[in-house]
Amino acid sequence: MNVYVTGIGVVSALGIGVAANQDALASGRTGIVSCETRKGPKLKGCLSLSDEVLKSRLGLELSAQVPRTAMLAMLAAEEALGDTVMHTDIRSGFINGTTTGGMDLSEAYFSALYLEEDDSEMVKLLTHDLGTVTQLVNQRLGFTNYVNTLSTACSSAANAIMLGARMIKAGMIDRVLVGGVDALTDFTVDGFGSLMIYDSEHCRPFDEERVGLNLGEGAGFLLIENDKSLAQSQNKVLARCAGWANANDAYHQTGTSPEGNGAALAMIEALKVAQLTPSAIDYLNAHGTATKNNDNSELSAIDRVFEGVDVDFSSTKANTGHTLAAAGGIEAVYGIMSILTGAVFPNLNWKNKMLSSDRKPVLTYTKKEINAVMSNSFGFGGNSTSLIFTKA
Amino acid sequence: MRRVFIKSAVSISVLDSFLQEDLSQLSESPNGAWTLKEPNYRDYVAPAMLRRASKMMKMSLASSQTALEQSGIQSPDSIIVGTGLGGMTDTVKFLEGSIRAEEGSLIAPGAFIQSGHNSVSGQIALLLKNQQYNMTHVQKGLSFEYALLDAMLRVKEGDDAVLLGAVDEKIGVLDQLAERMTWPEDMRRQLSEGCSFFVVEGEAATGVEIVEVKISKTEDLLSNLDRLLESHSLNLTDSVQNFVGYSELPKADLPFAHQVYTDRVGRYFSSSAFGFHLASDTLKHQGKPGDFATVIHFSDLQFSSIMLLRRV
Amino acid sequence: MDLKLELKEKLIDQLNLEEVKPEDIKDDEPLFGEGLGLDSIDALEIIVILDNNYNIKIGNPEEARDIFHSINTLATYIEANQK
Repeated sequence: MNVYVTGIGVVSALGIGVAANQDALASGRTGIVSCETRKGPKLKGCLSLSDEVLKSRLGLELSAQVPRTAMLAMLAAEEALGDTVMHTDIRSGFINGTTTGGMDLSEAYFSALYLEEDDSEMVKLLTHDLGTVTQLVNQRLGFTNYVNTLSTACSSAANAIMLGARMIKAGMIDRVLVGGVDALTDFTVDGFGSLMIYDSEHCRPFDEERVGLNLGEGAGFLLIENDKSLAQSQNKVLARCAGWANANDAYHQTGTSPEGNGAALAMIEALKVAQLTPSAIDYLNAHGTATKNNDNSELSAIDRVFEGVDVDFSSTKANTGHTLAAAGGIEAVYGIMSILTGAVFPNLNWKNKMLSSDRKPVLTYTKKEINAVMSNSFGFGGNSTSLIFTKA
Repeated sequence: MRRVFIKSAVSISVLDSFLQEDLSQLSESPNGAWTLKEPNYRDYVAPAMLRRASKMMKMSLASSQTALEQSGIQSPDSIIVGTGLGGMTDTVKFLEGSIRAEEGSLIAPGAFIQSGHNSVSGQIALLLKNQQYNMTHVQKGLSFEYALLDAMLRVKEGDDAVLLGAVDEKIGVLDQLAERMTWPEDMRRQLSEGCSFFVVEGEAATGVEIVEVKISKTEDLLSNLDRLLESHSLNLTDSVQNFVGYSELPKADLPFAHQVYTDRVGRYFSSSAFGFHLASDTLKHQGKPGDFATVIHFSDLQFSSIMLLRRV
Repeated sequence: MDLKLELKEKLIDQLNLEEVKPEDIKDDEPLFGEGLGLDSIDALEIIVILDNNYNIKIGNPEEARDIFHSINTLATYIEANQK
């Protein structure tokens, strides 16, 4: 059963929409800027629009309790869905990957509670849980057969895409909107700070001198359909979702194994599902968070999976920041943009080759024919997912 | 299509359910005491794993290990967990540390690491050194149902055995929130917690089969129930028992015989896993081949679910 | 209080070593791997203990490997660097 990608939508620090993100990536622009936080300035990939501006853009009441995560998801989901309409004969679903959910509002409540002993805003906790955020988004979309949330840290959106593709392949569903979202929160910024892997400078993926990541925010969604759904929607096919796999590193709660065992298993299995050889991959959008640990493991896994193959690879995390659960969705959209525009996106801030490998990432925006892209996403808990998209 | 069967089941709840052969024979807690009946975790989990573990993690590690032991499976082909709220204790603990920390001072990372929604499925994989498919579903009251649907899909894709779990822990903030939202007293006092783990498998000659899991709009739940049973040529009145549970909705007046499992173990987002376990044990110990049972879950205003099990 | 005893109590408390008593930790036994069996997450927690209690900042956990070898090495480092 073919799995067609017929819609893409993205929001990141680079802007709202596929066109804004394409322009920024092609010109090598970063969206990571110094942002004020309660504990001083931090480099973050923030979308430079306040909650109020987002609400007015989305036509929401200013007083409505809608977490930022939900609003970012609404923007990207609606772009991906386009003018596709629900149809009673087409079994349709929505799968969202997220980790922060309504945390931006929850931490506002807890800040008032802990710092000012003010518990009057407790209702803010009603939108805390991830499933509620997904349902809030779905109230605008109107899916009724299947509305689900996955949360597997930084591979959440990639897993949502994989689950949707598996369901289509198995004949369980005809059409699914899949991807993920996370907003910036003090909780996650402090969390990665506490792990001592937050770079106070701009992050440097795959550079020997890298010290850590910068966080970002955003959302990325794909509309995927089977033949029956496509016949009804008449949507244009942008690409195919051809391969997917999830494996576990089973090495450490947060770290990855030096050999990148989970990553390698996911890439190998995804190639198998897509029935492609490593040499067929024209562009690899790596997870490349710029932590010592991730880039080392990932490059080691790439060295093994792509042995003897000089694959073009880059991380776009230096453009967007690490958008956590959304990363797999945003980067899947970037992968499909790579196919559609015939181009490979550059890896910013790279100077020094890593000692552990001979490979270096693509450094300039390069036009070439792209038939197949691979997108990697790895999360805490050893969760490792690899996706493959091919030309329509 | 491969059929899917329940190989083993273990639950920790406010009832004395852990290691019980047949949950349907459990006596009620005296005077509706809603405290979790926990096993001695040291008997099941290594001290090194226990020392950072929240209640949710401890419940999950003890239940998952026991479910695997009972099934005779050492390493499953997939590990899939459903949780409505994830690690709330660790989330609030890290939030407090983060909010109270002054500029430039360091914050202890332990609670942040454990606060991830997939910390349970990841920790089980780490413990088992299991490199297979690992997933966590987080959809309010339907978290277990979506995890179960994923497990059934994995079996149909070729897995022999899937470790499937559901867990939610209660923290004080939830009580306060329910009170603030003026939840009726009878719903509020049912706020609870618990954990269930199962091994489901693709090959079985006898046992309890998971026939169908259906997500439904809540307003269409009863008509979908009729339609679902009809499609399997079954009648609601012939079921061995209909197990009904509620997450965020008040109890409904239902026009058929049923037992309310949330009146026994309380309400927590993944409590339908307990209803599922109860239905499975009832069919296994009291049913004959062909008998069936339903688990009907009124989750929230938008979505609810039906699970259909059959003795074969 | 004796710095070494104080350190042991802080480790037991912060790292949730419920089963361990201060006298179980020998001054010269390795804290990581063999011995007490601590891991890389504990190393981060010890960095927080040093920051919050002794105002000692360690920027890179990798640099701390030798300092965190045992109670003896930790105590020596604190005495030399405490402000």
